Amino acid sequence: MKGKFRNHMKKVFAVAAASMLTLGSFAAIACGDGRDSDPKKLTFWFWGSPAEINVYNQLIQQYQDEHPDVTIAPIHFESNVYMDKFVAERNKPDVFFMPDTDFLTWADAGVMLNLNDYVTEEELNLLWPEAVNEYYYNPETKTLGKSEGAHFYGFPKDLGPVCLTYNKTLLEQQIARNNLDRDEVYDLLSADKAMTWTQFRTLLKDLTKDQDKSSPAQIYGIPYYEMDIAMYSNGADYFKNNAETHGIDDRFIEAVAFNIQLATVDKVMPSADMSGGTDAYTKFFNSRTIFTWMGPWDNADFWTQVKFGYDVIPAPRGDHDDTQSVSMIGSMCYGVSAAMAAKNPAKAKTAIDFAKWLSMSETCQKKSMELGQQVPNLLSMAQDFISSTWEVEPAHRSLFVDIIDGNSNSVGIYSSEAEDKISGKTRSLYYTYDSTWKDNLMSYIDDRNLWRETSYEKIKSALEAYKNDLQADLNEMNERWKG
Amino acid sequence: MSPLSKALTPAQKARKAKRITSNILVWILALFVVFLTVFPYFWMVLTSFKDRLEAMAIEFRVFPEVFHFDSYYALGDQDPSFARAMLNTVIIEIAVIPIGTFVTALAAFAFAKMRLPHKTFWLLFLMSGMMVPYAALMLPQYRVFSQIGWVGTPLPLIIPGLFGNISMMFFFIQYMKSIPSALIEAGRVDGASWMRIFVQIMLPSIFPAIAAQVVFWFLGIWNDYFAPSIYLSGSSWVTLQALLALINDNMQRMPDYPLVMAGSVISSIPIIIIYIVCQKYFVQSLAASGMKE
Amino acid sequence: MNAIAKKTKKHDIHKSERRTAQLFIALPVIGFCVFTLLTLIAVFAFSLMDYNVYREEFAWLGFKNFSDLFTNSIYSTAFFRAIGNTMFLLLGIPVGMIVGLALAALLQSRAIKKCNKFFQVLFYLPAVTSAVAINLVFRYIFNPEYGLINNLFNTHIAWFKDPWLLKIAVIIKNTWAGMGGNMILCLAAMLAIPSSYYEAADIDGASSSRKFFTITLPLITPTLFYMLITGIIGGLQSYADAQVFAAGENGAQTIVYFIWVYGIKQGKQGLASAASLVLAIFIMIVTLVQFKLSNKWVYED
Repeated sequence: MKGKFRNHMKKVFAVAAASMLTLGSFAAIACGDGRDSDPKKLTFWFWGSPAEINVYNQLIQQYQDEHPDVTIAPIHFESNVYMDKFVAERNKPDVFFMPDTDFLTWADAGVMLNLNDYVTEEELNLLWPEAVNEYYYNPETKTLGKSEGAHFYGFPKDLGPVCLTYNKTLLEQQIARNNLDRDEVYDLLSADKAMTWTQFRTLLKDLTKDQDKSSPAQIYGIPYYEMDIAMYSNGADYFKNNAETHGIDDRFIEAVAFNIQLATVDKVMPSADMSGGTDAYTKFFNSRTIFTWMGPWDNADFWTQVKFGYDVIPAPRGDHDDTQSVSMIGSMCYGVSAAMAAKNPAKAKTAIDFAKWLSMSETCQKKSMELGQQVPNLLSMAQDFISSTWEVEPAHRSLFVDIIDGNSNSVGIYSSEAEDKISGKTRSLYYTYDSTWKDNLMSYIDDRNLWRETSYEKIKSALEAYKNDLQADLNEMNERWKG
Repeated sequence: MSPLSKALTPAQKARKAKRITSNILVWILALFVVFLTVFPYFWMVLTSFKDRLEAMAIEFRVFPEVFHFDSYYALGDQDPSFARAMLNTVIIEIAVIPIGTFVTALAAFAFAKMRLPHKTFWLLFLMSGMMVPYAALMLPQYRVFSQIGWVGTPLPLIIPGLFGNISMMFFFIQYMKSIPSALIEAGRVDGASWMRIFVQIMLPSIFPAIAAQVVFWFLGIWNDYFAPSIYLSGSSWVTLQALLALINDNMQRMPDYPLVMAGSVISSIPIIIIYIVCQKYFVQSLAASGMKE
Repeated sequence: MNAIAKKTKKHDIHKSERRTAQLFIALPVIGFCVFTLLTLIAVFAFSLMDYNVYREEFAWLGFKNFSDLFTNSIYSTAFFRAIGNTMFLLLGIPVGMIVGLALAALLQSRAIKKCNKFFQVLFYLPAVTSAVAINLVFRYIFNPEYGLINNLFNTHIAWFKDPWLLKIAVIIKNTWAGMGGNMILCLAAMLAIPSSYYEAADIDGASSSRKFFTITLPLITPTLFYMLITGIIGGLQSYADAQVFAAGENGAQTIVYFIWVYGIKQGKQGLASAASLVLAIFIMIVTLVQFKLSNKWVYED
C-alpha cells in the first residue's frame, strides 16, 4: 500500500512539475518584455480612436525612419483604463499622454520630469502660449501656470476648445415650422458675438414651440449643458484663490439654476428622468436636437457620418453686463518619466526628443488636423486651420481659434471686439488635486433632486446649504495637496 | 394504468385532459422563456448587420434595411486582430482549466471525504480568499506582477488559476457530499490508495459536476474583461472581451455598435459549441456513473 | 496484544489519510498564501495609513480611515449609499436562484422532454453573450427615451435616473445574464438525484409538484447553498454594473465601486483598503452565519 501511495504521489508531483513547467515557460516569455535600459528604446503610452491610433503608428514609423537607432514601443489602452493603469504601474512609461485633469496630481508627485533644461524659450514660442502656460507648475508654492520658479512638465499635445454647434437643416425646418423671422434667428447665431442666456433660452423655446413636450420623440433645443461653461460664462467658478475657498455665490447659483431650468422651466433640454438615455451624439446625428456641444476632434466623425450641414457659435454668456463667453478647453500633454530620467539620463534625452517631436512636428500636426482631430498646436499653422481654401465644415471654425486665443490674441487673427470677447478656460478639474469635491457636489445636486426643481429660490437655498460641505472637501483636498 | 386496459375510466379521462392542458401551459411557458432569452441575442445578431448610423437610429427597427457584412470584415482589421485575440483567449483557457480543475477536485475530495485536521478552518481559510474584493487586491497585486514582468503577458490570468478555483472547489465539496461514502469505503477495503480512489471512483462520479463547472469556468474566462483589460491591454495578448471593450471604448464619441455586436456574435459561437458538447456529457455520464441506483 | 496492534494500525491509517488529505489541499493553500494572503497583509497595513498613491507616501493614521468611512461626511455619504445599494442589489440572488430552479424544473417537465436539449441550448443563450454586448443591449432596452420597454408600453419610466428603478434594472439585467448558469447548476443537481427516489414516489402516487417539493428541492439544497454563498459573495463584490451599465450613477454605486473610485481614481489607497477590509469582514461574517444556518436546511448524505 505504501508503494501505491508513493506511486500516486509521483502523479501529484508530476502535476506539480507540469504546472511549474508551464509557469517557467511563460515566465521565460515574460522576461523578454522586461524593462529595457537601452537608452534608445522607449515605451510610449497613449489612447485614441482607431483613426488616431493609426496616425500615431504612422508617426512612430516616420520617427524611427528618421532616427534609425531609436525604437519606440507604442502601447495604447481604453481611455477609461488608461489612468487606472497609470496609477497602478510603478514603472511609469518613458513617454506618456497626460490629460489636463490629472496633470497637477502627477506633476506634484514628481512623476513627470521637469523639462526646463531641455527646452528653449524659442521652441516654446512656436506653440500656443495658453497651451504652454497650462503645463507649468511650481511644486514649492503649489501653483499652476508659468511663474518664477515654475517647472515645465509636459509638451502640449493639443488644445480642445468646446463650442456650440447646430444642425443647419433642422434649424431651417424649425424656423419654418414655427414661423420665425429667419434673419433675426441668424443674427443671433453669430460666430463673433455670443448670445445672452435669455436670448438663448428664448431662441430655443421659439424653435421648439411646435414640439409635444411630453413626448420622448420631441426635438430638443440642446441635449445637455456643460456646467463648467455655464459657470465660466457667468463670471463664476467652483472655487477661488487657488482652490482654497469655495465659490458658491450668486453667480454660481445662477449658473447651476440656468442649467437646471433649461430642462425644468424652458423644457428645451431633456428632463432628469430622460437623462442617461440617448447620448448627445445620437440625438444630434438623428436630428433630435438642434444644438449640441462639439470640440475640434468631433469633426472626424461629423465629416464622415453626418448627413446635414453644421456650423458653430460661441457659448452663450450670463445675463449680467460684465459677463463674457468663456468656453471650456480640454487638453493633454506628453510627459516624460522622471524616475527613468534619474536612472538613465541618456534615455531621458531620447524620450524628450521624441515627445518634443510629437508636440511640435509639422507632419504630426498636419496629419491630426486633416483627420479632423485637433486645432494644430503650432501657431504658424493656425492660418492653415481657418483658411477658407480648406473647404471643410464648420465654416466658422475660426471660433475654435478665438476660444483658445481670446485672452492673449497671439496670432493676430482674433476677430471680435474686446468688450464682448470670446475666450476659453481649462476644465475645472485641472485646478484641483483630486475630484472628490466635484463628485460630491454633483451627487448632492442629484440627491436633493435639484435636476427636477423649477424654483430658483429652492435651488439657491439648497446650494447655499452646501457651502460648508464644499469647503470641507476643498480643505481635505488641500491638506493632501499643500500639506 | 396497466397496458392491458383499453377503455379509459372517466377519472382517467379527466386526468388525461388535465395533463394535456398542463402540457400546453408548459409549452407556452417554455416558448415565452425562449423569447426572453433569444430576443436580446437576436437583437445583437441583427445589429451586427446594420450600418453604423442605422444602429444608432432612434426609431425602433428590428431588421436592418440592408444586411451589411462590413463589421465582420472589419473585425480582422483590429489591432491585434480578432483571430489573434481569440487564439489568446483559447491559450489561456487551455493553460488554466485542465490543471486548475484537477487541483480543485483533488482538494475538494480531501475536504468532502477524507479525515483532515482542522477541516473547517482550512475551508474557511481558502474561502476567505473569495471574500476579499478584487478591487482591493488589484493595486498591490498589479505592482508585484509588474515588477516581475508579467504585465502584458497572460501569466497573471493563468498562474493563480493553476492553484485551483475556490468557488469551484466549494461546489465540488457540496456535490461530493451527495456521493455515497460506501463507494469510497469499498475502495479502501480493497486497499486502493486515496489517489486511486479519487481518480477511479470520485472523478467519474462527479463528472456531471465537472462538466458543468468546466463550462462555467470556461465561460468565466471567456467573458471576463476587467482583469484582461488591466493586465493585457496594449499588448498582443489581448483577449476577446478586452478587445471588444477596447473597440467599444474607442468609439465612445461615435459608437460602432455593429462592430461590437459582430465581435460578440463571433465570440459567442465557440461557447455555444462547448456547451452543446458538454451538455451531452453531463447527461450521458449520469446514466453511466451508477448514481441512479 | 492483538487489540493494541489493531488500534495502532487504525491510528496509522488515519495518520496517513490525514497526511494525504493535507497534501491534496496543499496547492490551493499555497496559491492562496502567495496570491491573496500576502496581498491582504499589505492591504491591512495600508488601511492603517494615509497612503497617497500618486506620491507613494505613507503616513501612519491608526484607525482614522475606518472612522472616516463612517463618520466623516466627505466619505461617509458615498460609503453609506454604496452599502445601501449593494444590499438592495443582493435581492437579485434569490431572484436568480428561483429563475434558475424554475427553468431547470421546466426542462425536467414531461411535456417538453423530447425537445429538452433544444430548449436547454436556447435557455443557455444569455450565458454565452458577452458582457459588453449585454450592457449595450440592456441599456437600449431600458433607455428612458427610446428604449424598448418604454416604447412597447408607451411609458416614460426613468430607468436610469431613479435610484430604485436603476437598481431594479440592474437586477433584471443580471437575472437575464445569469439565467443560463443558474439553470445548469440546478439541472446538474436535479439529474444527480437517483431516479429510484422518484420511482418510489410514483408508486405512492405522488403528484409532480409534491415530488418537486419533497424530493427534488431537499436533495438539491447543497447546490442551492452553493449558489447562495457564492452569489452573496459575488454580489457583495459587484462592480462592473455600477461602472459600465449604470455609468457611475449614484443609484447603483456599490461598495467595490467606492473602493475603486477612492483607491485608484482618487489615489486614497488607505481609505480604499479600509473599505475593502470592512467589506471582507462583513462577507466573512455573512458566510459564517450561512454555514451555521446551513445545518438546518442543507441536506447531507
